[in-house]
This record gives sequence, C-alpha cells and structure tokens, in this order.
Amino acid sequence: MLTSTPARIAGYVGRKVAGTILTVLVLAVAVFILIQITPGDEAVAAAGPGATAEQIEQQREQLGLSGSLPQRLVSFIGSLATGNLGISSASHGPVTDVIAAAVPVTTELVVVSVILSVLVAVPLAALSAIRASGRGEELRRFLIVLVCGLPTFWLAMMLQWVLGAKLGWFPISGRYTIGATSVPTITGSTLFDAMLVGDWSAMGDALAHIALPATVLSLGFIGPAYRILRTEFITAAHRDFVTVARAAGHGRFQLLRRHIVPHVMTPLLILVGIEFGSLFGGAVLVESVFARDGLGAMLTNAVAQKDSTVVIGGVLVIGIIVVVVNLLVDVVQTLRDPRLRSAEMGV
Amino acid sequence: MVRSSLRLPAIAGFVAVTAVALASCAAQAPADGASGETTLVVANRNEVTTLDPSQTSYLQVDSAVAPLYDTLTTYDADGNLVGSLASEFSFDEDATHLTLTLRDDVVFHDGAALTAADVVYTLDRIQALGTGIVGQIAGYAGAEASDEHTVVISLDAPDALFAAKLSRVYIVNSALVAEHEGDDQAQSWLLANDAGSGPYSLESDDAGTITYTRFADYFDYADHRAATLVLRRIDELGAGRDELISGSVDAASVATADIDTVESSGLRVATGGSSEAIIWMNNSTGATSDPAVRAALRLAYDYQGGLDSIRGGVGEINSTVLPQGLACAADLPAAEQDLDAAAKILDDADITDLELTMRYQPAFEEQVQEATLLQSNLAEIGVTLNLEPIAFADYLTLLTDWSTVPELMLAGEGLPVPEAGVMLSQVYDSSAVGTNKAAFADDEVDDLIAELKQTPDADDRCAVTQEIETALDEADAAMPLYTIPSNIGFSAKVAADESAPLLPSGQIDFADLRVAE
Repeated sequence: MLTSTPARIAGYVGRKVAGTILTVLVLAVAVFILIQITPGDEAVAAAGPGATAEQIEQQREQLGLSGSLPQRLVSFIGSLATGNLGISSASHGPVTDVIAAAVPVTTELVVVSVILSVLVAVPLAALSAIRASGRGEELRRFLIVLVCGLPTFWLAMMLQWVLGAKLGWFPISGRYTIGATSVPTITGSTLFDAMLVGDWSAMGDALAHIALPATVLSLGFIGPAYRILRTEFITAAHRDFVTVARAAGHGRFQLLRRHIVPHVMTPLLILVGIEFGSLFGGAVLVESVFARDGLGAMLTNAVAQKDSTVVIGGVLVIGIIVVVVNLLVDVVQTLRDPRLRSAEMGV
Repeated sequence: MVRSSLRLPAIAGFVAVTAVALASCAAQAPADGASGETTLVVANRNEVTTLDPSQTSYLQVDSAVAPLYDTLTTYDADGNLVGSLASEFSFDEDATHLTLTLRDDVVFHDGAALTAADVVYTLDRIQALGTGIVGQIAGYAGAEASDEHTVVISLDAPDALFAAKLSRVYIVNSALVAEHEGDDQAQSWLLANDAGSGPYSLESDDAGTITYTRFADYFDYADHRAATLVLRRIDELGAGRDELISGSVDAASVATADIDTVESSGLRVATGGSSEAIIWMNNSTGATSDPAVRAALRLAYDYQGGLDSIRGGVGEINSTVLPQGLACAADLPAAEQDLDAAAKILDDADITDLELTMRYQPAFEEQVQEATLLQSNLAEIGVTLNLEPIAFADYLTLLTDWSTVPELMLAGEGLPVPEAGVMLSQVYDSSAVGTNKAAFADDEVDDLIAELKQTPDADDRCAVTQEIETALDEADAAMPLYTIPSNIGFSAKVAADESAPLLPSGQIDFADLRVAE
C-alpha cells in the first residue's frame, strides 16, 4: 500500500514520540524505586525536630509515604499522568511549583552555554582543519587542553575573584543586578524575558551575569567538541566532492560554507543534543558557585533535606528534557539527511 | 584566500567581544532603587524552601521569615526574655497556664489589627500541621482568647520554659490565612506570601532572591531600617566574600580565614551568634554506653589544637555541655586534652582493641578536619575510630530510636533560644525521643529538668540549670568541643557601630540592621 510522504513522516515522528514516552516512563519508575530504597525516613525529616510519633505518622500520610512500595509506585504513576509530582517534604508546597521556578533559570544558563561552546568550538575546529599543521595549530591544541582541563570549581572561583572582585568586569554571582531593572516575569528567565519585552538594558545585565557561569559550564564541552569537529572538518575537506569543488575553482571560504560545514552539521547536531542533556546535569556545581537558583541548586538542597519528591521530580524533568532534545535532534537529522530519511521513512 | 578563511572565527570573536562589552557596561548599573532610599542586600546561605512561619525549625527559613513576622516574646540585648507582641506575660502558680496581654497598637501588613484570635489561630495551626516548629510547642494543650487582647495558653504539664519557646513562634494574620486555607491549611499560599506584622512586608520572592519593603505602620517603626531589604541566596562563602568586596552585597558571612582579606578591603567584620561544635555520644547503646569510654574520649581530643588550627583561633573551648557565654553557666573547667589520663581510664576498665564509629557531615570542611584530628588523637591511645559521612536529614531519622542513635556524631549545634533550660530539657530529658541526641537517661537529671519546668522565676531556674550542667559533666554525657561565633562582614552602608543583631535562634537578624547615616 502506498502512503503519502507527510503520512510517513507523521508515522515516523509518532513512533519516535511513543518511544520517548516509554523511555520517560521507565526513567520515572527507575528513579522512584531508587529513591524509595535509599535508607532513612523522610517523614521524620518532614515533621521536624522534636515531633511526636503521631506527628511523624501524620506527615507519612500527607506525603503519601504509607503503604507498600508497589502501592506507592502505582499511586506515583497515577499522579504523574495528571502532572502532579506530589508535595515537597521541605516546603510542604507542590513540587511542580518548586521545579517551575528552577527550570527557566537552568535553561537560560544551558542555552547560553551551548551557544557559547558552538561559537568557540566550530570556528576553532574549522581553523584547525584549514591549517592542520604548524605552530599555530600546536598552540591552539595546547591551549584547548589546558583551559578545558582545568578543574571547574577552581576555575569558577578564580574567574569570580579576578574578573569579578578584582577587575570588576563581570558580576560575581546571581542573575541580575538588584534594583537596577524590573523585567516582568513571562518565562521565569530574566534573559529571555528581557529579550521578549525588548528591555535591552536588562538583557545586557542578564548577559553580564550569565557570562562567567556559562563560560565555566561550556569549557567542559568545548574541548571534546573541538576535537570531534576538527576531525570531521578534516575528513570532509578530503572527500571527493570537496576535491571536485576545489578543482572547479571554489575558494576556501566558499568550500567551507557550501560543502564542508553542511557535512559537519550532522555530528554537530548530535553533539549539541548530547551537550544539552549533560549540561543540565552538570549545572549543579556551577549554579552553586555562581548563586543561581536553578535545577542544580534545587536538587542539591533536596538531597540534603531528603526531599525525595523534589529529587524525583527534578531528575525526571532533566530526563524529560534530555530525551525530548534527543528526539528533536533525531527527527531533524533524519529529515535533513536523505540516507537516514530513506532508511527510517522510506521517502 | 587567507583573508576569507579567517572570517568565520573573526566574526565569532567580534560577537563574543561585543557581548562582553555590552555585558560589562550593564554590570555597572546602580544597586539602589530609583527612590534614592537605601537598599541593603544580604547574602544568605542555603535555600529558603518556604516563607511559611510554621516551618522555622529550619534556620534558613527562620532568617527569611523574621523580617515579615513578630513573636509574642523575644530576648533583649542582655539576653533577658521580654515581651514583643505581648506587653505582659505571666504563668500561674503551677506553670500550666500562661497568660499574655497583647499590645494594642499592632497591625498586620494588610491593616488588620492584631487580636487574641490571631494568637490562638497560629498555635492551633502549628499543632494541626504537626510539622516544622511544632516540636518547639510540645505540651501545648490549647489557647483561649479571654478578650480581644488577652490570651491564656494551657499546657499538658508544667513548663515555665514555654514563654521562652514562644520567642520562635511567629504570629499570623488569622483572617488572611484562613481566606487562603485551601486543603493544606494555606501552606501553599504561605510559600511566597506574607501574613505578618513584622518590620518589613514581602515585595517579591524570585528564585533565591527575596525582596522586602519597610512597613510604615510597624509598631516599632524606625528610620534606621533600610527602605528595601534583599536576601540573595549565595551558598559559597567565597562568592559571598567577593560580592561583599565588590560592593554588590552589604552583609555576608565571612570564613575566619577570609577576615583579613575582607578587612584589608576597608570593610568591617563583626561577630554574632554562636554555635558549638560537639560530639554526641550514645549513652544507652554500644561501646559509648560505658562511662569509662566516654570519659576517655573527652580526655583524648586536642581541643586547643583544633580551635587554633581548624577554627583559626576564633572561639572558646567549652567548659559545659552548653555554648559558652550563656547566663547561668556552671563554673566548670574548660575541656583539656590528657592522653595519659585517657589511656589509664581505658586500662583500668580493661578496655582493649576499642573500635568506634563516628558520623560527620562532610559538607562542612571543619568537621572533616575535626573528625580526622580525633581519629589521630585516639590512635595514640590505641583506639580505632572509623569515620562515616551522613546527611543531616538522615541523622534526624536515626534519632527516633535510641538503638540507632550514632555511637558518635560530630555536629554543630545552636541553641533553639538563648535559654539554657530549653536546650537541656529538649536534649537530656529521657522522654525526649527525637531530640535526645545523646540517648541519655538519668533519673536525677530528669527530676532536675522537671523542677526547672516548674520554676517560673528565671533567677531560681539558674541554680537548677547549673546543677543539671554539673550532673551531665560528671556523667560525661556529651563531648562539647568549643563555641564558635559567626563572622559577618558589613559594607559601609551598614552603621559602623552595628554589632550584628540576633534572632532568638542565634541567626543574624537582618531586619534590625541599621543603615549608616
């Protein structure tokens, strides 16, 4: 039976989405079970010091901690289906509110870090491919290994001290200058909200605050990305179609723009997809050092306070972001690569 | 050819430089509001999970809630219990009923007047929630409003310390909270809303940054308070120090090692509050239930070395189980290391091959060093000390059963209120499961604590307190190390004679910081 191209694409996307939902479900069950089997009694922590046995039991009921593990798992999955992540044992408020406040803060940091790392890694890799030997290349590689190999925590503290406290070029921590501006809350991200309302002063302020943490966060990715992309650039530069184009008189920039960069886009997309996920997980330390109340800071606090509903919710949200980004990368990659499109959709 | 090959990196470089330039310009924006009135920004460590005043057992919440609310009683600068919202308070003869007369000039932030009904509602709400500060009002049986400004609180058993405990209980606007009760007694609403009468009202709570506005109708209004107070979450001490030096914050905790750096930048560092480093020993189970082991442990630790090398010499070696500097302290000698005496005690008791386990919180670098120091000290007398990290929330769960109370636990302890009797009764009463960190049970001490609770007169309680401290010392019930003050750095915007005002919990009272003229 012949099927139209849009229907095949829809079928492919549908299969991918179904797979993603299944992945999220498995992740939810795994995270829930892992948290539940860790030692300690959350009801005691929730009731607070000096609470009576009755008050502890009251908390156990209210937080849904009574009943067997399978019962609680079924209840958890049921709640999850309705978007209810439960009650935080630390704040005694809905977990969704806690997460909703933290996600935009981490998202803006990760997005800026990804952009920054692409802006640095791609040109450097391209330059290295064009000039693959010589002292300049050796120096580039040495510097990349040196800077990207520095311990994140130490580097963050040094940047704060030198560029923030001593030279005053950048704010040391936080997300915006207190009292300098007031941007209406739309997404919860000061940077994106300032862009949306066209408040360029506030946007500059938010960019200033995000510059150091984004730099530190992106450094861990720039090194590996540079190495992979450099190889891809060199490989692409030696492909037959590039040789033909060069013979046809195309200049270096033209070769790069028309033939080599499109070829490198596929691994770049994959790298960005991987980076997006890993940066969400890796933002914990950076958020703590730069005093940004995002998912990382939220999870650190929740673990310390044994606030398992927030831990489960936070891990789940990060997991969902990772699989959704990977889904998008998969779909975009398949749509733009004829070989994949043919294999996956038959079109 | 060469020129075009460099264009891509050049464009990227230009974008980066432009962004940095734009960002740096924006970073110079002024910190004060347009009104020109002073804004004080305070660096606050750790997350404020809620602004619900029922959750102030968590000290970070206590700090953040204090500017918004008032308590019935409080402590003055000399450490005396005095009225706050209550103009007068007194116990009946057997200390089972506490009568409080409320001030008649207090209004909440929405303009409603404070009445006795608000006090009754607040206490009943905490009791019904069964969480947070509820442990502080243990023994609360009920309250009744005799008239608009008089409340009588009934207790299950005599407790002359109850008035002191009320200094941690914040009173809410009952009508406003009831309006938002929902199905969780307004816990969700109070997460980020204010129903208080305090010196500041809540302006905003934005992901780690809480902004307060000075309340013009506050009963104890003072111009010296900042027009706007901002609490910014900054967990790392290093970041707080750098922000202080750069002028972005006006008050921040300063590590002892950083005091010189901060002061050399022309800023002032004051000390305030105090907590004690203490090693709790399980008195009822395991090797530490043997009094000889406890006595030997107390003699083994290098107190002076620990204070000098780990705490930078700032603080005082403890002489009793309570933090130094409290009124009514018993006259006991400061703890001192004597390894020969420690070894002899173990020899005399035929204790050999002793192996102990101590829990500690690795998040605190000082604890890691202190645990290692004790491990090294004990090795000198042939005792093996194993170290196991633990999170505080997990530690709390171990306290509910004396058989699971850690053999040894290194902790930092602050007093719930600056009243010795409150800590002694919560920690060393044999019926106090959950807060009795030493798993300690002794009939003599129980009797003394009961006597303490039946003694409304503060001076009379002093003598009983000293008896308890002496009994605990003789029993080697715990191993207090030293009392450590907090160092707070201030910018020039804070009054120069500011000595760091304190909340009853020992936290810095940021709402009472005075702005420099």
